[in-house]
Parts: sequence; C-alpha cells; structure tokens
Amino acid sequence: MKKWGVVVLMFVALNLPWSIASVEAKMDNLARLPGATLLMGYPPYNLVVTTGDTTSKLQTGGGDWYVTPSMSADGHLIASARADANAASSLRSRPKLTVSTYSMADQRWADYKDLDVYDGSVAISPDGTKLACITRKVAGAPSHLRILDLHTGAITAGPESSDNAGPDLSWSPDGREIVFDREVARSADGKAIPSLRAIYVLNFAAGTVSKIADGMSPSWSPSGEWIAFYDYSPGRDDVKKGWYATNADRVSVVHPDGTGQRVLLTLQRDDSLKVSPVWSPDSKDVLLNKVRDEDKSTMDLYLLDIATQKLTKKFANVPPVYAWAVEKLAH
Amino acid sequence: MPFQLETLAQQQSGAGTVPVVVGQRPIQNKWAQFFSELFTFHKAYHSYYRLAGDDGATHQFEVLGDPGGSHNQQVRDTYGTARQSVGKEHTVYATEAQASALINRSEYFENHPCPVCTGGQEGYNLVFHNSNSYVYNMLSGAPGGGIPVPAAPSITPGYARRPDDWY
Repeated sequence: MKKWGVVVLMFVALNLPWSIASVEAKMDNLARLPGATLLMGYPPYNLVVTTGDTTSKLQTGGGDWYVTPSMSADGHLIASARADANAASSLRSRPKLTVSTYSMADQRWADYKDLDVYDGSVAISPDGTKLACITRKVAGAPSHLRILDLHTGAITAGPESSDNAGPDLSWSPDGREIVFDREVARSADGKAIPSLRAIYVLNFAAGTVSKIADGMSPSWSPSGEWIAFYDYSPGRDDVKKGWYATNADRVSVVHPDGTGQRVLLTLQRDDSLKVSPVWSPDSKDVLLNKVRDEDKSTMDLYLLDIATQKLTKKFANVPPVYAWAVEKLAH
Repeated sequence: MPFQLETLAQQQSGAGTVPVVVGQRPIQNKWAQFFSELFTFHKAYHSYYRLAGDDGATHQFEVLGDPGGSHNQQVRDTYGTARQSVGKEHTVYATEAQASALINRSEYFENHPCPVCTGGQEGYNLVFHNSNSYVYNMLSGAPGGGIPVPAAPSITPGYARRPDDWY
C-alpha cells in the first residue's frame, strides 16, 4: 500500500508542472508554433504576436474586425491601422483608421497621418521598406491602391479600381510586384448575378496588371515561386433557382506568371476560408484559417504541406493568424 | 407552408431595378450545427444582404457578435472586411426608394438594437429571432410593398415574417 502511495505521489509530482503549463497554454487560447513568430488578433482594436511561449500584446481593446495586418519577413515590423482611441468605444459604424506600423524592437507605434483606410489589407513588403493599402472616399466605395515608402514617407498611387471590396494584397519577395484580388462582374440572361473574384499581378516597373487565375485572397510565397489562393469548385450553382455559390472552397497554387496552377485541397462545398494563406518562412507549408465560429470570428488552424498536400489540424477555436516569421530572426 | 406562399407573392410583385444580393452560408457553430442536423437532417444557415447606395458605396449587412466572443449580436456592415460572409447568393431587385430606405434603416440599426438583436424587443436566439429574421424582415418590410424575399436554399431558422418595428 505504501509502495502505491509513493508511485501515485511521484506520478503527480512529475505531471503537475506539465498540467499547469498545458492549462496556461490553453488559457490564453493563442496559436504558437515552435520556432515561429505569429501575428494574430482582430485589428484595428486587438493585435497580438506570439514567439514561442512569449506573448506581445500590441493592442488589447475590443471592437469590430476591419483590418488585415501584415509583418515583415524578419518579424521586426508590423503594419496595421489604428482608430482614434476615443472613437473606438463609442461608434459601431465603421470609423476612419490611420495606417500605422509597430516596431517590435522599439515597442512603439508610428502613425502615418496622411494615409487613412476603412478596412482591408495593410500589406508591408517582406524587407519592411514599403507598405500597400487601399484608400476610399467612404467605406464600401471604389478602392485606390496607395504605396507608402516607410523611409521617406512618400505616398504613391497605384492603379484605380472600380472594385468596392477588398482587395487582399501580398508583395513579391523582391518588392517589385503585388498580387491582389478583385471582383469580376457576371451576368446570366442579361441580368447581374453575384460576382466572383479573380487574381491579378501588378508589376510596378512595367506598369502592367495581368490576370493569373480566378479566385481570392492571394499570398506570395517567400521563395517567390508560388502564389497560394482560394478558388471555386465548379458545379455548385443552382441556376434554376437562381442561387450561386460565391464561397471559395479550394486551396490552390499558381506561378506568378499564371502557369502551373494546381488544386491542393478541396473542402466541403459550403466551407470557406478567411484571411489569405499564411506561408511558412521556408515556403514548404501554408497555414490556413478555417472558420470555426463565424459569430466569434474564431478559427481552426490547419497546416498544409505543399509537396505532399498533407493537412494537419494545429489549433482549434483561436483568433485568426496573418503572418509567420522565423523566431530567431524576430529577436 | 404560409411563409413560402408569401415569398412567391412578393417575388411576383417585385418591380425594382437596384440589385440586392441575398446570401446564406452555414452557421459555423459546432453545437448549433449538431442540433440542427440532429433534428432536421440539414445544416442551419445564416443570412445577409448586400447592395450599393446611390453614392457608389457597397454595404453588406448581417447580424454578428463581437469578434472573439459571440456577445453583442448587432447589425454590422461587413463589406470589404475579413468578416464578410460568403455563401450561396441570389439577386433580387428593389426600387431606388426601397434600396435607399434599406440602407438608411440598416445603418440606423448599426448603432441601435434591431428587434432581434441583443437589446432588441425580443432578444436574440438561434431558433426564432436571429440574423435570418433580420434579413427576412428588412427585405419584406421595406416600404412600397417590400423587396422580394427569395426562398432560402436550405434550413434557415427564423427566416420568416415577424411583427416588429422594422421601419
């Protein structure tokens, strides 16, 4: 009997620290990957960075989720947008936001007062020297691409677009091109039917915009070889009753010149993914945010191996993750 | 099925020119979906609508809770944000006056409780007073005889006329 007591005591003593650590990890309910710096939250009011076991809370407020932030490849600089602190709690309709960057080294925000957005991507270039965002006259109005040089503060205009939604933006690794999505109007029997989206590459030097695929939420791989995006399974429309499926239920990749497109993963017909695919720094995997609870905007996070197409569930019911940098580079 | 008869009648009376996209996507809540499939053998759906105003700005209105928690179910304009729902969509047509009234009243409800929102007359619940009731009644209750309400493509709890103060 005494022997069993000692065994139980040893078991409890050995397992207690692990149980506590496990509970702590679950309590903060944030995604963490070994050796990774991850950017997550619900900007413009809530933004968090996890690096291994450490958590940096850049914004801790509550409120709606309008902005898709980004992080430089070294994890040093984060680009997002911020609301006036007084406006955040009093207004539910969408406020104008100031484009901002956060330096992880200085632990300080820098606001760019001449650049206002209402929503959408604030995309920083991988080298952290430029950012791209979408400005509008009012929320929901046609979009204007703006590029901010973070060293000089100069703002340049990209091509005008009649697209009122999005777009999602992602830089090429060399910062010379941007991939984005926009609405493509459709009609049937002379009448408008719900639009889908298509993917385009903007080359700054050539001044060209080229369509490379149908789909949405593109994300350029750090290697430069692939653009991952979400696209549409065919045959899901109920044309007779006039219902059209607009959710992107597949994960695909395509080369930046529009060649080599292949489907990596097909979800259930009704499923949809949020936030562009998040590339691992070595370009071998993408992290996918699959909606867990739309009301709460929580996600189940999956890791998809590009080569083997193996899908692994990593986290359940966590805030969306937007960017992934290598931990040692981030410090 | 009285609500389906009403829907057909409304569809026949539609004479508008402004497209209003009505959409539905599955409710992404594990327990709600479990009980829906247990009792109805179908997934439950969430509704939303999208239209452009005469200023060229597009809006998508839907009832959602605060991100990070399901509290505070309110009307939100999600257009152009990552929260914007996408699903199966159907286009109906409203008159300019109806479209204008729909946007104005939806924006009013962004800052005030709608009848089926948190703080509204009946309060929010997943079965009878929810995002689907909001969409159905904002369309069917629009001035000038209502905007045609498409029949839902699947089980959509609460997608029915409610005698509340919608306009």
